[in-house]
Amino acid sequence: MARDGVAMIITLAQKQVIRRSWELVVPIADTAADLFYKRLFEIEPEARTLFSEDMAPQKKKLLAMLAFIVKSLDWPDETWRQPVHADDDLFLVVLALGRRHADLYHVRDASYDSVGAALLWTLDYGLGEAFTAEVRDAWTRVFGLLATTMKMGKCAVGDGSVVARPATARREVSGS
Amino acid sequence: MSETSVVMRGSLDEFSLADVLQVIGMSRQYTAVQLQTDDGREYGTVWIKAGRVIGARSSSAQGRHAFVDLFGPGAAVFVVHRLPEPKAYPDPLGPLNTMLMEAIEAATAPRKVVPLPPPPVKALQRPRPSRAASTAPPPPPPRVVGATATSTAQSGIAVAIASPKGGVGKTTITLNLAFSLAQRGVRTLVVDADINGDVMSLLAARDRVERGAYDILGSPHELPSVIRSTVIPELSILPACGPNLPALATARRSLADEWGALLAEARRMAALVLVDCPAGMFDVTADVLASCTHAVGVLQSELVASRSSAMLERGIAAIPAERRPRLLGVVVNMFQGRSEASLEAFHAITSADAAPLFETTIPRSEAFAEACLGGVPVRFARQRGQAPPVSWLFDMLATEVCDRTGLGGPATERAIGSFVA
Repeated sequence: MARDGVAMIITLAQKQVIRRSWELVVPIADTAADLFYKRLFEIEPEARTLFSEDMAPQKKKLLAMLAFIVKSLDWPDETWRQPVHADDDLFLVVLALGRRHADLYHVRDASYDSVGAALLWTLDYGLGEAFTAEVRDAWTRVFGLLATTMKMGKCAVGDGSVVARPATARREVSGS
Repeated sequence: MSETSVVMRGSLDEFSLADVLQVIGMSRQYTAVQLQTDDGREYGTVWIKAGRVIGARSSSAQGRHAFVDLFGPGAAVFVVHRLPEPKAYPDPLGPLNTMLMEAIEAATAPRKVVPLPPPPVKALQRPRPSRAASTAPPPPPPRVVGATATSTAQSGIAVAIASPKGGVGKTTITLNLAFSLAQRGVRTLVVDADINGDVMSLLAARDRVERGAYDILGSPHELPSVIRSTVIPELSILPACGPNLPALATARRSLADEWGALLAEARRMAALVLVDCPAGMFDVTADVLASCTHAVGVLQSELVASRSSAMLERGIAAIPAERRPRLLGVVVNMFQGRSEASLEAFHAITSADAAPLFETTIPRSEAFAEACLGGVPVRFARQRGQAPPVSWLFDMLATEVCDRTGLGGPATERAIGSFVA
């Protein structure tokens, strides 16, 4: 059995840290997306071949997904019994995204480390002094959880009824 | 969704069970994670919804113990099922994060080397624990006692409230937490093990006490005649001692056996026994800890207290394994958001790789002094004619304690039931 650890546990306080720090990113979102891909291609140049020449749609997808992630982490605790549509469920959406990355783009597990490093670098650069150790820790945990979920995408079974992008993200992208 | 469907299937060689559960904990779907052996036999199953463990089953147990069992060797494959939403959910066993940490700690405990502090000088003067004490069977596992349980045949749990340093607010936490638990319907008995700054002094009722815990150590059958009731039907108090200082209160020997017998009797009378320990992790506190099923640590959000926080776990680790209570978590008390020193201490405590913290943090507040002046729990203090906001934090803390122990039912459902009747 693989070694057990709890490095990805996210507390309620850390969810609030994620939400508050994201609120600081929103006004500079386009710049942040530029920085993210610039840094990603510096760390892993071969990743550039996975994307088309025009990166604008991809940047919109990235921002929509990040917004979805932040929103999905932030729900009132007392509503835990309420059903949530599969297309709005963070786990199912990210699992499907990971499955697509594995099946269609043959993304290696190691590439998730590059994506994580680029994301933290972007937040550090974009947030400046607001990128405290607390913020870094919260985003590191969230990204660790999401990357593990995406890696598990290759274990996903079923008819893929959950699309790879959340309903909200699809609306934002199609409306743009 | 009306039917069960398989979402994911994989090998535990590639992904650890903790990773699988943490990922599933992110989902708000009703999900079952089934573990199978190499030859396809079921090893166990855990049901999860929105970060809560709804149920667990292993080959030999159900509930919280089964959840721990799942981390043992033998499982090879995980299968994740998405389930239809039921009409109603049972009370969860607990938050997934908390149960995960406890299960992994339990699974790795035999290999964990905990450095023990040097024995305190006083301990050298104390006789070694008797053979009967050292070979005593482990305390029974905590029972899940419902909020309305009334049978005295059932044994409740005993939770020691302890801290390495004095003056951090153990008595205040004990009293107000007990109040909130009792308000939830959990039959709660506060046992005062601290003769230095006792609960009855906090309640301005010291002069009304005739006898207390130290007077009946060694004769626990006298417990019912010494317990004091309160205006809250579900809350009662066993004071520390009467007007005269009993000889056992100053005894320089281990009282582990006496405390064990007294608290066993107390657990027969209440679903939850909260024991307010003296400052420090040794001497009387060690005796009480060895007689309790669980412990809660209290740390003050202040630098000296935060620097002594490691002693909390060391003190518990020094209890013989067969009598060691389970540490439910640590409450940070007297937090001051405007004080840099308090903030620094808070960060030091929360970032330490130590015991699990409770989500609820108690701030420093004038309301506690006002409550002490009136000799009441802080809920009865008044600020601008209303119960002080800080008093409601103890309801949140009580919820966390219930989640972590499996005690009690949802307060709101119970209240609505009473209202309709």
